[in-house]
Amino acid sequence: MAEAYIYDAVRTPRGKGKQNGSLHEQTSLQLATQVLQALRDRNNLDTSKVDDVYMGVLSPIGEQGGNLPRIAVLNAGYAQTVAGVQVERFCASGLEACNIAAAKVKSGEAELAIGGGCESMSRVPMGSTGGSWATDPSIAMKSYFTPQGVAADAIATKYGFSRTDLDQFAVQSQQRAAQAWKEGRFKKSIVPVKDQLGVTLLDRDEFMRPETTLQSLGALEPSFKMQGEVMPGFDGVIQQRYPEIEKIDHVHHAGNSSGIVDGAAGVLIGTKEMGDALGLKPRARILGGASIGTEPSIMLTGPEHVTHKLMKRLGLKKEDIDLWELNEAFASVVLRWVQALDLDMEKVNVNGGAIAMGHPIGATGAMILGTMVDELERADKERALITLCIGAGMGTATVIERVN
Amino acid sequence: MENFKFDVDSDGIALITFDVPGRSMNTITGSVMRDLITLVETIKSDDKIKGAVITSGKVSGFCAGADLGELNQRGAAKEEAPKSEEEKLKKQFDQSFTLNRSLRAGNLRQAGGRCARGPRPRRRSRNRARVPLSRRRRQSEDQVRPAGVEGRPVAGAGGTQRLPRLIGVQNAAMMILQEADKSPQEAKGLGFINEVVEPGKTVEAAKAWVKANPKAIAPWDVKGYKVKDGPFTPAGAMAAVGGNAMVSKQTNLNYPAQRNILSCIYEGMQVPIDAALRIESRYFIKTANTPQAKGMIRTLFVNMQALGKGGNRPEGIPTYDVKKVAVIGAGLMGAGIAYVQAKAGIETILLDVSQESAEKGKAYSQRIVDKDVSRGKITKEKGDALLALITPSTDYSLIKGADLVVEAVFENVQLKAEVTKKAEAFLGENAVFGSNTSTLPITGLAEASARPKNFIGIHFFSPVERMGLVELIMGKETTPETQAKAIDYVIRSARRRSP
Repeated sequence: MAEAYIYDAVRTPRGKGKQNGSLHEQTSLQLATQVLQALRDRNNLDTSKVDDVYMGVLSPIGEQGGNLPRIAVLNAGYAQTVAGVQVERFCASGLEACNIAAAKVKSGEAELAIGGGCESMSRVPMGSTGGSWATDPSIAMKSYFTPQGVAADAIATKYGFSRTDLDQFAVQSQQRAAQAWKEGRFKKSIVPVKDQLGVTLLDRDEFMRPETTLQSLGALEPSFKMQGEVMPGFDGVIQQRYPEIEKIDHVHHAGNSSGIVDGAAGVLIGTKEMGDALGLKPRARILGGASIGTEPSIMLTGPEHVTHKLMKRLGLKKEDIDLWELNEAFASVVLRWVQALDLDMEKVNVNGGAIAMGHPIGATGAMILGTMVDELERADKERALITLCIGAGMGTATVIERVN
Repeated sequence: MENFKFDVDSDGIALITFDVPGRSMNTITGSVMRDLITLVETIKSDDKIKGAVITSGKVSGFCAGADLGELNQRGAAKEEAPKSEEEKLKKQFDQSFTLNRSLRAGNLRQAGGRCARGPRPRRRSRNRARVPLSRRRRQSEDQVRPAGVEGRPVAGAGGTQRLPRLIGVQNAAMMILQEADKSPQEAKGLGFINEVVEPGKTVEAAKAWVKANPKAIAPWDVKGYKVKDGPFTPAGAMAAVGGNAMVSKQTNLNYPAQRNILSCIYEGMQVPIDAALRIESRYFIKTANTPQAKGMIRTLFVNMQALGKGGNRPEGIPTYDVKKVAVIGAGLMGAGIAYVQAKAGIETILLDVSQESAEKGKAYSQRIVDKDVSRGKITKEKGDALLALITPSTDYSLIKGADLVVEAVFENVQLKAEVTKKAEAFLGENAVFGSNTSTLPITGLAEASARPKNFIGIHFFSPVERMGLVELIMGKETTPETQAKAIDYVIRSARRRSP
């Protein structure tokens, strides 16, 4: 079986996912297009050698619907032989797209492929695509459907994390992200988004609040207390599944949960032979990827289980991994993962995460994969594990290894 | 047709009076279903009939829903056994769906009007909600309060489909799940009745409506009709997600009827009405076949009716006329027992160790009566009469002439023994001594009694005025006669609404 190598990884900066966000006035198609163009231009790529483009999109509807990746391929001026496919695995869509691209390369079905993702949350809001899990009584009730925020609060309560624990983690995320930006750690992969004239519209992650302190977070109201305790009262639903939780402590708020942002990312993945033929220098090797389903009501504990699953398959021990990256959907998700795997926080999310910079859902997985490629090189480390918690109770993970 | 009277007036408007013989309340029995189909065929085939108005011949209201007694007997009749589970279900579906099929057949359409369940007796003085119905070849079997939960299975007659289409998913779901009564004004505001008219003028008004709306057609039968708040609209999604959460929280997933009602709405709102009605019928059967529905119908309806009529009462013992009962111990239980039996018109002696405690026990009844009077539930006179029946005292000699004693003192064998002896000193030879104990064995307590044959456990549950359950416990020596007497007392005192 062929090996899958990462030749390049790019991402847009993340714009605030609101109407006043910088990227709100640029289409999803443009975000995806500019990522594909950057991969082509930075690598002087003969696009006719690309077999397929896999992109994660959480809300494939409206302008993000109708197979955005294929339309972006056409819009970016790639060879028309390049196919495109939209991938959705909720929050891990972007990482899943990269895992599919790697698997296709390994299997021989593709020699060169792009994995990535795109999400303009300001233009196509979360939840736009509906879905039966929460609405159809036949599944909602028997699986104890509970929204993520309440589930994240349940994780904090069940595994003993206080509001202060979560807020401290949030402050750390902000500080690490600020430090990373200050030192130019993201410089290699950031592709500024251009406007309709070709002028730079955004070149930095604009969601960040480096001035955040424990005190400033302390003033924020809990975000999920209302839907948990009052209307319609999801605490009472998840407590049926977890009767050991006597009362859910509603500890998450806007400051220790991931931010809503716009952005896109792409990772160029191919065989050794194709890289050599195109004169590309491999940066990392994808050792493997995995996904798993876990208990859906508490929903966000998948990373722990998928980490075990993947590490076992790859024959890796904890000491073999130098950098651990888990998407910061909610602070409790990361703290629980670190607790369950007994990780050293100094090796976890070393450049901050979605609490500071935001979580453009379909793209995030590909973004943090790219961040780890950069960081392995910068910090002179060997291996990184990237994972995300996922809606409906899943986890997806990837392990990469730097190529000297 | 045994269940309906059918008269066509000179304007060609049929008046259909729903009046199931020998019942105080109309229910949908198999015979009613057959009659309804005949009615539909008659109206369809007779060109002279321009429209129809349907009304009830019962003062109790229009219709209570499916006939639970009959539903409970389903499958008991001698029929050829179905060959497979699938065949059995198909047959059940066909039976359940016959009415809908008949109503929807050909060009027959539901009209704009529908039948609101009539006001409850206590609302008799108010205006009556009315119910204009149908025009030529139009007919509606709708019931606005579709029987839903609490042992009543999902109405298989379209309630979960038509009501949301009339008043919106959220309003309809709340009404169906909570079996919420609506006043005529509220019903009109929500849009599921057309008019509110003076009592006695309903038929007249309905006929006038039929004449004025000869082309009435149900909204869902108008071409291009779309459900506005299906589960994938912003409003509908909120209702669907919230509804699932609330039902799952409130029922702990133990009531399939509730969940299936939501499924009827969720699935039904996404398809045209005919498909929706089929879906509803399937969930109706699914629900009726669950052990939960069967159990609830048996316990809450069939057995409840049987108990109310003295089921388990030993035969051949004349009815014991309970006129005077002494309650010993005026704590929470004693006070509650005093209230329910006084409410049933029984002369009540409420005894305790001090006059103050006994008065305190009576004050419990005073509070309930005051509240009911202030809310207009009972008149001041009736309240006063009820209170006048309760005599608080410390004097055991008042027990003289009592038909029965209920002892509700602390759970202490010695204390109970003492009280038993004190009471029996004044209690007639044939009167019954009942202990409200929840934990102590009756045979043991009866040892203190000079007449253990008359000694029985009569255990009420708290709060007595709200809990219908009473547990009767036989001691080793308790006679069937005593048992019969205790049952007569319980039935008498359980009749909470004295006439």
